[in-house]
Amino acid sequence: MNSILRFVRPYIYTMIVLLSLWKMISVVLSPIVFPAPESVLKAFGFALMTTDFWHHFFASAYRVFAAIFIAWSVGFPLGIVMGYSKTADHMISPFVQLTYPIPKIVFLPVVLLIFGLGDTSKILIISLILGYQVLVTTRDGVKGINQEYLKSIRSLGANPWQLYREGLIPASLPYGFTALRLNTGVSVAVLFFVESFATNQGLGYLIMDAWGLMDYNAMFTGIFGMSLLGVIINELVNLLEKLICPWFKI
Amino acid sequence: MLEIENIRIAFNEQIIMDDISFQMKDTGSIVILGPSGCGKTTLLNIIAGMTHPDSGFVKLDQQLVENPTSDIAFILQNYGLLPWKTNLDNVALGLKIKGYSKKTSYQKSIRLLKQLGLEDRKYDYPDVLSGGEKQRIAIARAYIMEPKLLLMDEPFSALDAITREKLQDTLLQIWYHKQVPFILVTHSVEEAVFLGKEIYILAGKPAKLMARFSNPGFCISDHRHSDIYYNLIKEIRASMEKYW
Repeated sequence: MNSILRFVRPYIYTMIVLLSLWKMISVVLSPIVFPAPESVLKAFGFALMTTDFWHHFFASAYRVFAAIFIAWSVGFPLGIVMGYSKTADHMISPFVQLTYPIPKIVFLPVVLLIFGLGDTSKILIISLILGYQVLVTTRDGVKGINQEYLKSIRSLGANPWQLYREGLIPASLPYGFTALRLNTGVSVAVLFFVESFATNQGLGYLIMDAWGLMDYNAMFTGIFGMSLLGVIINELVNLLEKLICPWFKI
Repeated sequence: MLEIENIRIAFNEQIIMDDISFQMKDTGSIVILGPSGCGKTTLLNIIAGMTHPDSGFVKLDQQLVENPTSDIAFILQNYGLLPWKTNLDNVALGLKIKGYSKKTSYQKSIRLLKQLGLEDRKYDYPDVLSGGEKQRIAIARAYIMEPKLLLMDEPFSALDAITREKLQDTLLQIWYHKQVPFILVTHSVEEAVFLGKEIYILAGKPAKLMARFSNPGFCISDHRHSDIYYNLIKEIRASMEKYW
């Protein structure tokens, strides 16, 4: 019970501060443009009990979690190999250096043309953006691993695969998690963007649809839903990191 | 039997170590003393098969050492414990790499941790251990491999004087019971004279073995307070002043 309270307390404090600010702004501005927090909270509470909200929520959750999975599965191992093997780094780095600064979101029309309007293109564009972050953060992290640790494993007669399994992978995990944590906001932002067109499900659609109808309570319900999704991803990353890297203290 | 023959190593065409040759019997202990940067660690790396010399060779029991092998255990200066593994997993790592089952590795590791008085720390991570405890875990990890040779790179340099002496005693006790030969590099003359059956001085540019001392007091009782100990320290210091 105490641990639940310890977990929830910072969120409660933050909510109180944010809602107070919100209330002040809604008093200053017209409540038609900027509805009061109590009416939005009421609408959000009501939405939570509807299947329609959860239908949109799970559609978004599926897209973003699938994207995180793909980004991690490709970016993390590639980051480790590039960070450790100079040959691999020399081969792949020019490609990464050249394409990293390009805002990947501009490829959206190309991805849509190739993969169509369904979930695949949405998932791919999020995973492309997130994957680069995971790759670069992991690669730079691996380059900074204390070489004594690797020397210590090699001195035991480890073969290359054992060096990866016992040393490089566990030592790199915190960098992979940091990349995910830092980019939770980015992934949800991209999710909103890719859901704002050519779909009729997802929280992004919910927000844009309500905005078009000038139903601001419903729009804020969608915004709350996206925030909730962001918080869940962030906390899941924290939880996974605690479970997988219990030795690592931030 | 360890044979080291005519080792030479160069970086950027500059010879940093040359003409290193010595042999060590199966129950020996050699301590190498030398100034910072003279190549002591490089020499250990060569013996461990982690660095290849430009010429010369290392043989252990008549087999060329060209790559790291589980026959040679290496205790690094900062202990080399992996922070992502529990102490038990750190000790068991060598056996796991050697292909032992998890159950057997753990059983052997727990037995050894018990002997070293660290059984209650087996599920802790290294970062919560004191320097002395970390060093004992590193010693356990080295000995569990049942190596033919143990290499140590300034293993006690970060410890306080009392802990250092206790661990030196522990090391000699283990050596006495297991009879695994070791080569240790250090800056400390006192440590060299206490732990070395033979003491070599590595110095010069390029670094060479400038002097070799036999230690008649090695492993005698109350060695640290004996005249042999003090006289040898004096002799080695005089030699170091000449070559440093």
